[in-house]
Amino acid sequence: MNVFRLRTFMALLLLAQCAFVRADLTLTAYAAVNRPTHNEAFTATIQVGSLWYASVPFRSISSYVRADGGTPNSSAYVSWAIMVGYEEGNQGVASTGGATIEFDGEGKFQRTPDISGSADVSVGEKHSSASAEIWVPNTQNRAYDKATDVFFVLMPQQGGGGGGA
Amino acid sequence: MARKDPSAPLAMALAICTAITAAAALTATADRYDPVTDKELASDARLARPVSVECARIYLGDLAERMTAQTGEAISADETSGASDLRIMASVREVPAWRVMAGVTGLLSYRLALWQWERKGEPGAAEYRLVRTRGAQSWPHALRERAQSEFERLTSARMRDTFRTPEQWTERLADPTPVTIEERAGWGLQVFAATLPEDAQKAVLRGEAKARLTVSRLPPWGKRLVEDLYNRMRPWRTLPDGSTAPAPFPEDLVAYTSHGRDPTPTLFIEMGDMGGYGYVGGDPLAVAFRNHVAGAWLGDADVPEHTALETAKLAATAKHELAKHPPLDHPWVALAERTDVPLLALAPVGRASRSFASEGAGTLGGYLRALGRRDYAIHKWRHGLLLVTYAAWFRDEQELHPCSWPVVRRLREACRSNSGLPTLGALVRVAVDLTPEQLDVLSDDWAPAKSLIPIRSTLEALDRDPELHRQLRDSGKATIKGPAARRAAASIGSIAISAVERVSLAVRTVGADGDRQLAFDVLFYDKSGNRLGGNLPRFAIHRPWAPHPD
Repeated sequence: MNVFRLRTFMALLLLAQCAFVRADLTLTAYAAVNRPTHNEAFTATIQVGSLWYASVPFRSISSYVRADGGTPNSSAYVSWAIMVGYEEGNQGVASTGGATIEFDGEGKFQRTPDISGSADVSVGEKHSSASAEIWVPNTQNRAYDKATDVFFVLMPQQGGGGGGA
Repeated sequence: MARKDPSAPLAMALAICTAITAAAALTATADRYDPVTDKELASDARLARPVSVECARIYLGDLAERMTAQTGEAISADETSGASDLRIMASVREVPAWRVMAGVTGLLSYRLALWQWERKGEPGAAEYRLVRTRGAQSWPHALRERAQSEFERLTSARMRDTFRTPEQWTERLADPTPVTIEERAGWGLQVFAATLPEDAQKAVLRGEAKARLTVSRLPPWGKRLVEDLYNRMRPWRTLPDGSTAPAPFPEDLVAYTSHGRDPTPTLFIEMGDMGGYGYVGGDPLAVAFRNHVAGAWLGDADVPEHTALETAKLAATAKHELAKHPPLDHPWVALAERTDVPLLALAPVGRASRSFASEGAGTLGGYLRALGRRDYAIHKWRHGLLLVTYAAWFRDEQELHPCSWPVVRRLREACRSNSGLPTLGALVRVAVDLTPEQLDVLSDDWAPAKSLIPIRSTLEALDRDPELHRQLRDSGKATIKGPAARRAAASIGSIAISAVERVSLAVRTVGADGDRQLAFDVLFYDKSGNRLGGNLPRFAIHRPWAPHPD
């Protein structure tokens, strides 16, 4: 019963908040990733059965979500998600959340989490990606961005030297 | 007997001098480029020939070459003034060449910062070139300086205006009314001013540093701001198990300056997982600056609005398709693809915003206004061409680090001659001729350019040693030893350069014809023959990544 009341209250609250959303609220998302890059390949370090994996670091750079309003006292309920490294089954890292925002004369709100972490990635050509998204729930007002990079996870070499001419 | 005129020799000499001067003047006119007006462009019958170019981002050097090919007129973009290096969006179909030429200068010129067409030779057999004048070359720097100084001036003024004495803070804290929206910006700015020394404030305002402030160390009125915002914003976050929970009360604040897509900076203060508001700068400064830029952009030959065309409906889906590369799938391209109106634009690099696609169902004017809100875009009309730019263009990476069109042209030609893959020689030239920042700019159009940045010093080693280059090209393998190896490893960044004794290079084309790629492996070894670093740089170009939207 309490759960039902809470959900009803949250739904009504959300509807009430959405009623104050500015029609021309501009949302911006920007994503960037710097690890791994094209040229950072990784020597596999873990063998599971016949497959090799490497622990690969991911980090976002300068990713942000942003809401630009303008009219003082306008309000919006905004959710955001910034993720790095979610690709091809990788378990990347993310920052997701939300808040009620109220614009003043400056008309700006921004969220710029610094996300980093590692994930096990199988050997081969891989993609790293960062994506950012921001939206006003129950509306079509949303913005999305994604940056993708290519890197290689290589089999470990046998022995220390060798290779090359 | 006729009397000899004593002045005859002098007259003869004067006549000869005059003739020589006239001949020299004629020669000079024929050899010298002189500025031409739009009217003079229109008066050259050969420039009445129609041209068509549909490209999301085209170098002006490339545009000029295409116009030459389509008109038979010699048209170029000057390389020494950097006119050839800028990339614009062009969507013109069967438009007289002179109108496109006038549109280009209209798009890029500002009062006292002119781009101009110059002509050499007589009409009918003339050569035209596009030049970026000195005023236009220094204009982006002047705008950057002005935007920053206006921001700092505004910040100082706001700090003075919102200052409160300890007694005033005590009085305000006694009032249980939460921080109001009207109070918020000034209140936050006072937190910034009271907790950071002046030099640290300057570093933040200039974008040189972020400042981290500990909430527990803030004065009581600073903590009150954080508490009131936390209670009003009710922030939440997702936990590792996927459930959501209220975000914890912030322990730290982070103050920083950010532009986003704005022409001017905004001071943000983020609070833990809540994100943060802009406290000074913001929309008012950005709009004022956009108006300043727009005022300087409108020339005598321009019309600010075209009612008939701007009230026309845009097509719901693309009518034309512009040649483009990722990441140019963005609203500016969508605009060009949904209208028949000829347009030239200086567009920001960026990707699609899903919410923006619905704007295409409206009118051209409505779409332009939406672009204005989103990107501080401005537009005008010249000779029937729609010209669109944006107020923050002077902060674009292509303005800060323009990528040389002659270098790009050479790279494209090398790719064309090698079934789409660059040759080793072409890679060496690009890496040597462009800075890392320019390579980054080139990667907007040609993704592999970014991969060259870490191996740039290795490619420079090949440029310094033609014999090494030849060996690698012919046999696919080469080795660099000793000090030369350490120089070749300088740009890698992820290994101890001093330990490098040998660099082993291998280059080959791998894969079947339909999926060819150029693989460039670089291995580093120490004196004992141990491979250095866990990373193995590899450069690989897939065939579809050829750098030209032909």
